[in-house]
Amino acid sequence: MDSDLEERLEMVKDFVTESRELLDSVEPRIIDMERTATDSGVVDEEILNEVFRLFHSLKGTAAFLDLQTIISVTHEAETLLDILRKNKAYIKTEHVDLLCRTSDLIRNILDTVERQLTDDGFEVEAGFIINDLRNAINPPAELDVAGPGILSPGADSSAQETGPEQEEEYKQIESMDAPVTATVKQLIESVEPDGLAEPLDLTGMVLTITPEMARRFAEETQELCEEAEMALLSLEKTANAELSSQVFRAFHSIKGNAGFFGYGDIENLSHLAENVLGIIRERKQVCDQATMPVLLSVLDAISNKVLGTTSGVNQAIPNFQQLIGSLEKITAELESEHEETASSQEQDLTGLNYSASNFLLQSQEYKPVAAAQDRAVKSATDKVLPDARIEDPGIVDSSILPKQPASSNVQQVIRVDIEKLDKLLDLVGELVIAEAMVTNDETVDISQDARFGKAFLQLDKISREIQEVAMSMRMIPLAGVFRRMLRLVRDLANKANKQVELEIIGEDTEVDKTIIEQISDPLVHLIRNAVDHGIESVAERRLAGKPETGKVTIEAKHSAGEVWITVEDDGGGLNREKIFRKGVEKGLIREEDRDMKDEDVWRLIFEPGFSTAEQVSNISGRGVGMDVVRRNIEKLRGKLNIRSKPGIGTMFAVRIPLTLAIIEGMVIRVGHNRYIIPISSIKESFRPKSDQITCTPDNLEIVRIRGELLPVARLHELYHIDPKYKDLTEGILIYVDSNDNKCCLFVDELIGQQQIVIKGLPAYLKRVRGISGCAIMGDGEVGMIMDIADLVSSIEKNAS
Amino acid sequence: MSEREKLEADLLEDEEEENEDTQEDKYLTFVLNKEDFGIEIRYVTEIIGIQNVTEVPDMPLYVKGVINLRGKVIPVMDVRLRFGIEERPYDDRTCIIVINIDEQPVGLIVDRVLEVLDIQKSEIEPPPKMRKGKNNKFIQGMGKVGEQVKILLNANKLLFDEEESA
Repeated sequence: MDSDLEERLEMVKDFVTESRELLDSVEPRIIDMERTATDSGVVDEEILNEVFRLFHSLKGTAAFLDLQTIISVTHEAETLLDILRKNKAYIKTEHVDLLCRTSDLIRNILDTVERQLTDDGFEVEAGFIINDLRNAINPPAELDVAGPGILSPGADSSAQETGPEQEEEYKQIESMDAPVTATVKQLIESVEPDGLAEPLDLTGMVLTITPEMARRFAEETQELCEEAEMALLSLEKTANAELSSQVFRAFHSIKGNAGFFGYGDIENLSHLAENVLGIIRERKQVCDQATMPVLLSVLDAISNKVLGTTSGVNQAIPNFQQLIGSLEKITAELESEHEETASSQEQDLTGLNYSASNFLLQSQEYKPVAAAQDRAVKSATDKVLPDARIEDPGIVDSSILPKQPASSNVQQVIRVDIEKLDKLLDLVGELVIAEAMVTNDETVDISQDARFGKAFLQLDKISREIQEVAMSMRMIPLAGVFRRMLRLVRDLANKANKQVELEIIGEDTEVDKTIIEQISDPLVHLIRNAVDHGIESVAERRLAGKPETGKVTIEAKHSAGEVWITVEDDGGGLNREKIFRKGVEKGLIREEDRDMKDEDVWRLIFEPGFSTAEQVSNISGRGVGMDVVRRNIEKLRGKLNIRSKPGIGTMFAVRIPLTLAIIEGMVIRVGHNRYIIPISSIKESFRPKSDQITCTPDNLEIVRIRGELLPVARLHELYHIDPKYKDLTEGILIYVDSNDNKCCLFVDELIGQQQIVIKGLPAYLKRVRGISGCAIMGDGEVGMIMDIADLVSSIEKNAS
Repeated sequence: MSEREKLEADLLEDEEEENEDTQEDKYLTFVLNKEDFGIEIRYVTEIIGIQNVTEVPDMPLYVKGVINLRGKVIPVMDVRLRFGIEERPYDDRTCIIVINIDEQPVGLIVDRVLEVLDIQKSEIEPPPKMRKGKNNKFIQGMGKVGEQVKILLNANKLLFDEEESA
């Protein structure tokens, strides 16, 4: 499969380059067409042919790569040119403008194609241009009318045709073209009473929804849906005005955006949902059992549909009528209990349009359309939304503004190619190394020259800051991934007829983007297992004296250059016997291995096809999930730890190294070799006195420090090095602690603290005890970075 | 693709391989313990003088450790030790030949590097059938160059063959 992708990449790259060249040669020719056309509009046939051929080629190559949008756009342009060519028709300024716009659009599409290999996301914009091109493609008779920019009757009628139905269409929009003509008509009405002025040109000016916008609409809507979902789930338990406001606002924003983009179905759903929320908020209620599933389904439907639009599909919402019906029913029920809802809603709308209009107003062009949308929204929803607010968000009083949830933030965002980021990070890493090389250079003595010392400190400070910023650029908080699990747990618990709640800790922990992408699936599987197999039924839990509601906890934290993500449940724990027997059955282990360590038994569950579930449920039991988990974690070069106690619960801990990690390390020396210990693992270092050391009959040395007794690990023994000091009192003991694995390392001397750029050990070397990676030291040599946890466990293994 | 097209594609591929700068039949020769060896040039990425090697624990004896090659950390192997021959102190003619197989770069420490030679397949004899010692698995063939014989090594086996030879 990969080679297919590579091939396509190649082809796409070629296509993009070739097409750009084609466009480069087309554009001047288009201008030439205009220039050399006589006053009556006769065009040089040769030039016309050339331009035609160029568009034709574009279409051809696009067809080869199946880039539908480009194909349709070039086809229309080609048709226009063909007509001009066949009829030796008269070219108008508008035709030239159109062709230029087409060329621009294709350029934009090419940029995207280069990145994502498809031309998705341009359907809306392409639709507009195609429309215009079609309008310009007219029976030759019409073109006899001289003068530029005159609308042919054809276009007029198309605008008028949809006129009377326009309001109707606007409410139930399924196709792309309708909003164009609808809003144009309104616009025309507002600007030119006689409706004959140059709507075509206006179209070009006003209704340019860029692909950027379409994509952002999809993204923002999804974020809003997620936000709403989370708040709703909380609303199920507690009545909270803040939460209901949040959900209300989310629906409101979705409604506004959807209206602008012409997704009438989303608009309608959100409007009705908004109503329901308004009532709930008013009465400070919880979201009851009947309402919750409906609202959640609405969010799902909207989210799915919006997801579909990013890949160019504008599908109808499957159970649209049902949802509308349910929403209306709920509203009716709620309303019959209470009267007023409308008035209080009006007030809060003041601040609430903020996010929608702010989104729209990123580009000044949209003002007129915003006004039009406003009016359209008005006609569709019968609410009064004063125009002034939309055009000038500055008016919105920040005191009215309810607390904005984090995800619909107003920050400026810029898209950056991930490759550029990677390159930047690499360079930052090298900067650190280079800096270390300067400091450690023997000819430089910072302590001697005060001015140099100061300058150097400054350099150091700045480069550290650059590092922090560079690394933070690729980091994204896990909150998004974690929160999606709330819904999952709820659904799973319901399906399995159990009561489970999800606790999230450390969601602000940031990890690299690639980790976010890969960790989602494993998390889902682990949580599924926890709910399906781990947590017992209500009855069982009662019998066991546990609280009826089971708890699943997901936690994220940074520790020693790694990210720890744990999934813990307080269920029945893993069944060692069952797993062991299954392992023997599958031939993975033998009966005699009965005494193997627990953790090794747990690892068996990761074998493909392994499952001790008696029945395969819809959710799990097929033995596929854990295999995926293991593979994904391997992809991230991570490790997986499992702990389980029967009757108490199970914990899965995923440990993933931070990709480019620059850590503070302490360089130590044993013999001729230098090792680096992450500062975060070091508690302290000292030279022991002989009375602090006790030696057991097994020759195990114990050192006493501040009342604690710690085992001593002689590094030179472990690594078979010839050390400088063999006597503990002559060397240095370093008290290290990695997640409660404690011991004291015996080394010759401490060299100093340094910033270290972690590089993975070459794959060829496979596994080394106690070493997690290597680094390039200040003098250009390589140093080994120690993995304290691994070191301690291998020492324990050696000892036993 | 039709049968015929597939066949054509195959033929073209073969041709391409042959025409590719023909790194085929070219061997980088070096000296180890007074014998001449050769390794296919297409695996070789560079040749550098010997530099300080950082030891890595837990490695087979012939893996001396790692070096810093322009910011990249590369493992190095002492080929003498790989063959079970006695070690020789490194001098200023000792070189590291960096080869790359399956995206894994490894440095080979050799006594001296000679030159790149063209050795046609017709001039290469299969490895000796008599099994004396365990190093034969590394030998891909015996190349005849004029009056001399160069022992041609199988880079893959050299790097990845697991049996302990030390």
